[in-house]
Amino acid sequence: MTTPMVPAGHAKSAGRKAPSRPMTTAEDPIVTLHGVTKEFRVAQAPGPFAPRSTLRAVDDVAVSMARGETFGLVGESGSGKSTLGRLAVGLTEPTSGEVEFDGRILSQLRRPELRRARRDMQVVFQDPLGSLNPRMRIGEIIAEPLRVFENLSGSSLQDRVDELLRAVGLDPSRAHARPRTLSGGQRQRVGIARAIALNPSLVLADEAVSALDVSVQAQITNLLMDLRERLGLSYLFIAHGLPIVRHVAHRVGVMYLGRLVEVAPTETLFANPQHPYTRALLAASPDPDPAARRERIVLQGEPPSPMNLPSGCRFRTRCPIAREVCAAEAPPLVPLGGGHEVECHFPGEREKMAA
Amino acid sequence: MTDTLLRLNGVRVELDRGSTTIPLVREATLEVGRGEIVCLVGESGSGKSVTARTIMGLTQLDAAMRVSGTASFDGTDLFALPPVQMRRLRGRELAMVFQEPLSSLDPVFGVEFQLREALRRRERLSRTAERARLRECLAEVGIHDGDRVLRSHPHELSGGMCQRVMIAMALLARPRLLIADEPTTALDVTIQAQILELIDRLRTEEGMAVLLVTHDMGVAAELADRIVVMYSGRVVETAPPQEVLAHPAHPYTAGLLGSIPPMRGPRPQMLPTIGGSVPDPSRVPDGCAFHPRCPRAAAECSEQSPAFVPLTGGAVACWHPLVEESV
Repeated sequence: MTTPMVPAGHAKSAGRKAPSRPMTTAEDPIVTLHGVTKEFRVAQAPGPFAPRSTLRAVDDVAVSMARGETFGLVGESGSGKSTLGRLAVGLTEPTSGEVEFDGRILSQLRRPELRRARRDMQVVFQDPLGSLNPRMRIGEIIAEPLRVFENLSGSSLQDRVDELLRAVGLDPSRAHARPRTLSGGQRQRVGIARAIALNPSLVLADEAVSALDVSVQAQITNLLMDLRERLGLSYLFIAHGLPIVRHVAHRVGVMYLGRLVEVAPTETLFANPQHPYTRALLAASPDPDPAARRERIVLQGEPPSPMNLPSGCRFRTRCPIAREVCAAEAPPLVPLGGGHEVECHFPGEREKMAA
Repeated sequence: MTDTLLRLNGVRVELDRGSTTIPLVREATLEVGRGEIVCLVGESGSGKSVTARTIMGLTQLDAAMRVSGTASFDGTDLFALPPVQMRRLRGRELAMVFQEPLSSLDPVFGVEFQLREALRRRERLSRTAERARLRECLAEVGIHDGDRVLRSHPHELSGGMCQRVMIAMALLARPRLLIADEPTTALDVTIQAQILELIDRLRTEEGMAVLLVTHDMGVAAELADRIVVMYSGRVVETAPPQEVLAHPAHPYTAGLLGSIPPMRGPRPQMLPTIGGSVPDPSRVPDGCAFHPRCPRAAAECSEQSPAFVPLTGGAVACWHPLVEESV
């Protein structure tokens, strides 16, 4: 038997899974998830009377984001990253656990309070054409939140809309255009203008740049980073493209089948990934850098169904270093210092050692 | 070159709108050698998918499309071929895999039925031999529970699985050229890695040539023997990946590479960008189509379209390529 490589000072047993673990508590948190779980009832067959089963999209995740921080969330489809994002901005309610936004527990707020809190949490979606009303002019789209929440009208509304259009790099003369007539990048700028109209403190960017062409993606990314500096925004930045996440995020969380399996400051995560899934994800991400000398890890198989999770560690069915203990026990949360935490029985191991 | 399998020369595709014609592909000139993987890279609207579909003779099925130029496949001029013969070529010598595996498979029929159909275009076998052949082909694309997959309908399979079935379908015919249009774009990266590895292995084992259309320079870097960059309907640069990536000659290629955030080393404060966006095909600028966005543009760029200039292992269509200086 070999002993797993755990950095000195971190006893493995110290990280036993607790119901609500403090995964990297930020100092001045804007949003904190306390052991949040989200389940959906899913029909197993078409039809109204089909038997239903439970899909746990997010499973007991605890994490917090600091004010002004950009937290990148990566993972593949079905990992629960979008659901986690929606939970963080109160677009969906957790099945269990609590979401604390700016010091207040969202589930305890009354409707008017929640309504007020929503001003501070805005979203930029992936598909700008699908999230902008095709019948409205872009000026109206941006004016709507201002009219609803700030009771602006007339020239003060007009001035604010123009200011917002300029802030996202659009000419105010385009305010009469409809979404269809704009390019993908311009549409996403409108979506961003709408999101920042009420001076939010947290913006959820759910694959906000993923559908754009590379050259446009760079423009929109620069815009998001520029607005972050100027307006002191915090972003929850969800993307499946690793290079863009590395570029914008201060800290990155990796999700696999509803669990946050690794969290670390961006540089640490990319330079020294410890979870075998994170390593595989990095290895699989195509890189045009001719100097790239990457390890080749091609994961076998596909993620198991979230309705029928494997026992123990849910990554074990595809994990190149899985052993017996991985099937028997859920992996502990191992703190590696410097805000780097990983949920794995054998963090950092590259090869399966002979048992 | 004697080992050229496919040669496109000045291919032009126009959409006839009655009063106007819109050029979707203005000039596609490229070659694919036997057993070679060529990646056709560009942003949306660059004409890369139209080019791929035109080689397969699919664009021509639309009466509003005008195709000119030549496409010679192993000495046969594809554009001059009567439809009956073209159909015989498709699915035998030439096969194509599309981006959306779920919408390319027929949802009404089972996987086995659809694969059998593809196989029968190639050869007639007994039912048992057919089934064995299908199972063998699925194993080749990494599907080991072939019997279950054969019994399934497309909606019962994951996206990655469907794409494998599509590739298996393309391979049943043992094509000499596989055209893959963004085959992994809808898939997760770990599944993408599996599919790319599969394509690379098939090329090596079967000697099949591949024309892979992608928007992802990373994918091209990984797989390509040669990269062909398209911009606004025109091929602007072609070279082996190590040349393109280390010394891009066209300012557009350089801009495209620059706007991809690096995966290692220091993180830049701002990403370099190309100003503006890809022109609408109905309003392509005069001269070099890239000149309004080009940092190196000079007077001649807006007047005359640049010709192809040969470079080390490739060619570039630019009045002021970047490579002259770096060499």
